[in-house]
Amino acid sequence: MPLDPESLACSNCSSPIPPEDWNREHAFCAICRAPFSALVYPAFLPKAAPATGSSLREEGEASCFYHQGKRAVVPCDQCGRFLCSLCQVEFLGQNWCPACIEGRRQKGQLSALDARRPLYDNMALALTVFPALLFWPTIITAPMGLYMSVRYWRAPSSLLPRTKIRFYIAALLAMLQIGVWIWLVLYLVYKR
Amino acid sequence: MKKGAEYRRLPGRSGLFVRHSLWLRPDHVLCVRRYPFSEEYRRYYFADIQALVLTELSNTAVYYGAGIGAGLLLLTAVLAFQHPVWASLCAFVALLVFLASSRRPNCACYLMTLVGTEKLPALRRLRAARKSMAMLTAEIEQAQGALTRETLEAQIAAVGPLPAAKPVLPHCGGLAHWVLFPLVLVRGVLGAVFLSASLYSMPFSLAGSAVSAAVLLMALIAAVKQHRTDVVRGVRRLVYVILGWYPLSAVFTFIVTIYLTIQLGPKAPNASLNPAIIMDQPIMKYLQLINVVTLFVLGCVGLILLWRHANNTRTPPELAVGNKGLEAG
Repeated sequence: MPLDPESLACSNCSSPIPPEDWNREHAFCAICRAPFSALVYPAFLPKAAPATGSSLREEGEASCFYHQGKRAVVPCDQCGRFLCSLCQVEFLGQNWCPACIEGRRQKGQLSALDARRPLYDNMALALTVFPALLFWPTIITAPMGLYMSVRYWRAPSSLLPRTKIRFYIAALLAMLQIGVWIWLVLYLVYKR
Repeated sequence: MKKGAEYRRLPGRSGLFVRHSLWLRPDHVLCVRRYPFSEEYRRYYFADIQALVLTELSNTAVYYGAGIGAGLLLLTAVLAFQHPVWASLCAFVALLVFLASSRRPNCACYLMTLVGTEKLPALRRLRAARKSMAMLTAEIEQAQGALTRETLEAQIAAVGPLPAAKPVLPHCGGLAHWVLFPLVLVRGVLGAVFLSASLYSMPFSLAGSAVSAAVLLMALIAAVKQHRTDVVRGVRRLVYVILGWYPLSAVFTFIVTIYLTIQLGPKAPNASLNPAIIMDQPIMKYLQLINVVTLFVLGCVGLILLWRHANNTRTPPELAVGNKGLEAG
């Protein structure tokens, strides 16, 4: 791939940043005069053509599990299958085959590939806090909040550092609300 | 060990209900978009990052916000004793304006990989963005190595002559603007003096009219001069606002005056209505007050923006390459 000098653009006016201004701490856009800093790294430079796995197997050499005619260069660190340079995927510091990655991803065992995570603790907390402002909806939402706290206690949560404090608060509030409802029902029953 | 314990947060975050943040791991940076009940992730591996572009944005909203907020605070002070409810409302709105304007982004950061260019919405404040860029650069250079100046220049030379850049907009020093905004301030001072001292005599009115005419003339000249030049958008818009404000204010004052004349006319002695009586009406006082505050805000904001424009368009000095990696190479 040739170096494309127009691929870097000013974020303000989208005009190309000339190569003379790359990797300078301070430069000014020629069009909008906005100060900018464009840092390019070695990955930006043109590289040799990517591996195609085209090296053919010779007699007595191991072949790729997926491409019988191609020479194996590395085994998959998960399933042990031999892989050619085309099938080899470097991932999490190991060599993987595409099938292993896809299989683990479908089972939800690869958190490093998750693109979205639900925040059950926030849901449980919302179910116990907001309806409490009106009180009456808590007859439904408090058990729901408690169920969600218990059901998803061990479910994978955020990828980022996060405590279970929201689950604790949600469970506590839900139990409190359920207790109030039980007391209210008993009070009304025995009052009669 | 918790799964997320390895992530380190980078400076900079944005958003109120949908929050953006950046997190570091030894081999990638995680761009997180947090909704109230879920999170979305995008990973950029250091080995794949080709470039980072940080552009400072002209945050004119801060100056508009500060000007409007100051005007509202002034109004609050005026109303504080006679109309405490309205004063409280004004103070609250002023606070909101200050907050809203101060939260505006003053920079934009883009990350480029082989497959595309992505905006990093978490980096919208310059200070945090610079810190994050420095940390990211250190990690990227650790993964890819530093790019030497020789290598870069050799690649640039291999590309050959570059296509001609777009024509640069002609520079406008803004002399007309430098006259216009102080004139607006002078008109505001005159208005404040008339209002506080209730001066409605002919000489004072003539002086006020003369300054107003000068403001209008200079605004017209400035509008012509700034056309298709590099004058910043904020200053350009301010000139149009000044051009629009005068007719608007005049038409509104005229309508109110007619209304007051009809209302007060029958009560006037000898069927002649003194203009001072109309000008002393509370609604006219309020109109004058609004006019004075607006002129002050427009004048002050205009001068600040113009000063910034002058600073930004100053020819930048020759700079040495700042990247450490380049220096080392």
